[in-house]
Amino acid sequence: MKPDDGMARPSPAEEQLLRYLGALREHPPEPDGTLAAAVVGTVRWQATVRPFAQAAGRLVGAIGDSARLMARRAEA
Amino acid sequence: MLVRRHQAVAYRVAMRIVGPDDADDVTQDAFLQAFHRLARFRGEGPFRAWLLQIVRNTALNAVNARRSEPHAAIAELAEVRGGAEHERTPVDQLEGTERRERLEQKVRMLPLSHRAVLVLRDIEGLSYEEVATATETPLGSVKGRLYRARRELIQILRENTYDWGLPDEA
Repeated sequence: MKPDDGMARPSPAEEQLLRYLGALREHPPEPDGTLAAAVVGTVRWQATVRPFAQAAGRLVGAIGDSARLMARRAEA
Repeated sequence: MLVRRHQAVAYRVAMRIVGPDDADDVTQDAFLQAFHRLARFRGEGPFRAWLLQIVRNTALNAVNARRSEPHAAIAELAEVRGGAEHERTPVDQLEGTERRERLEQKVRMLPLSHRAVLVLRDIEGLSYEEVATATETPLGSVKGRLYRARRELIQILRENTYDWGLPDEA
């Protein structure tokens, strides 16, 4: 099999390897049954908190800008 | 719901890149990142490939963060190197489950960039185009990496304690 030709015929060793890998595909590991619930719960929690965090960030930024402006005026 | 539809493939890819200990965390982190980036998904390719790109990147970050704790990798490497010096046991003597677990371990010994391509193409059965999207790699490089990943995995199995019965190249 050449590196640039995905359609080329695999070597006997590669064919055997692909059979082994096929066995992994037939017996897939299963995710924990709580995964979806955990993701949805975290997404909801973050969606609730996010607007407040963003507003707080904007407020802190505005206070910082004002403080810098006042400091520059005081220096001038 | 997107999580329920894609959680199995996301978990499988994460597990095969980072191993079973971190797979849950990686899968969950990847879904959270995907949720926050959902507006950036332009629908130019399949959603699955886009999601697996995030899973792969999250998994690579997890592996890189864990590099300071190489105990498992060293143990696996010791087994491989030791095995070449002794008479090798036919792999057929292993139970199916143990054989698959050993093969999963060997897959995780591949370099990260090769591991991801082999998992996505040869185990998950994604198209080359989907693999290219998921790995953010040109199509030609995907095929080259896949070729090298197979050669490396064959070499790892040939040096293993167990004789995997891989035919010699002509």
